[in-house]
Amino acid sequence: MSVAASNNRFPALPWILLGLGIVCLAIGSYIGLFVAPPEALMGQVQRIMYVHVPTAWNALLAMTFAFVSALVFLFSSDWKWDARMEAAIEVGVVLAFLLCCQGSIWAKPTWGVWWDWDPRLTTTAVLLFAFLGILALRKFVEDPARRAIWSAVATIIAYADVPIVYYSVRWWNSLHQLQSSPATVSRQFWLPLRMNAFGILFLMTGFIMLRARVGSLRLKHELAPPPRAAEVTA
Amino acid sequence: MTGGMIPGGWNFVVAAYSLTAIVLAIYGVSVIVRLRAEIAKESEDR
Repeated sequence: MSVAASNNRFPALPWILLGLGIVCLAIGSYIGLFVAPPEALMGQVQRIMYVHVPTAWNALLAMTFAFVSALVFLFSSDWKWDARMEAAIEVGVVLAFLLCCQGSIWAKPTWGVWWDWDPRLTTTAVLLFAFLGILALRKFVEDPARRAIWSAVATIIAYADVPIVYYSVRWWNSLHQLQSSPATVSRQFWLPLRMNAFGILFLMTGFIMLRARVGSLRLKHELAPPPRAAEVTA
Repeated sequence: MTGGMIPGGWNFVVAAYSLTAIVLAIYGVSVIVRLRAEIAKESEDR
């Protein structure tokens, strides 16, 4: 099976996932903005949680998929996993960037500052720039084999920051609150949180599938044998 | 008195939701544009 075909087994699936993601996000955001009550202390500002927390979960999930893809590529040398790793890193970086911006917008009215070198914020920024660095590395290395191996190793190393981000609020004295989940928030806040979490999950999966197809098509082009002299002169 | 609740804040909420929608939309369009370009390139090569 060719590299491109292997990441295009279900051509309609990413589009279905993108459609589902948009519907879930629209419903979740409507409930979060207009139906759910304001929180007792943070008031209206707490509504940012319905996009911020799902973005955080899915950013870490995308990076976990990049880590798994890097491992599978190193053990199998199957190029489709290189394309999947690249796709997951790119989507993870977009979500991590969004996460930092949303967090900053939430920090201003609640903490009084746009940014603080707090353990959670610092480790998240390190995560964003580490994975951004891997994308830059992939851009600058032309040889596909070297690029794939180096970026897979770098992804495995950078992934060490993911559990540190997750546990930073427990390990250190942090301004950031402890992790929010449906188990730690009031029942009235469940629905928008879950709807948006599924919405971003569907969008993220659809984006990764489409972006992996882009990567596979590029790889197919790069790995194709050079044309023979007779073909070039013809 | 606000009873300890942060007053207002809708502008921050709107900013966070708008930014999320804009960034996801721009990224989605960029992926689709790149995919179409790669598919066109592939069909040219055939």
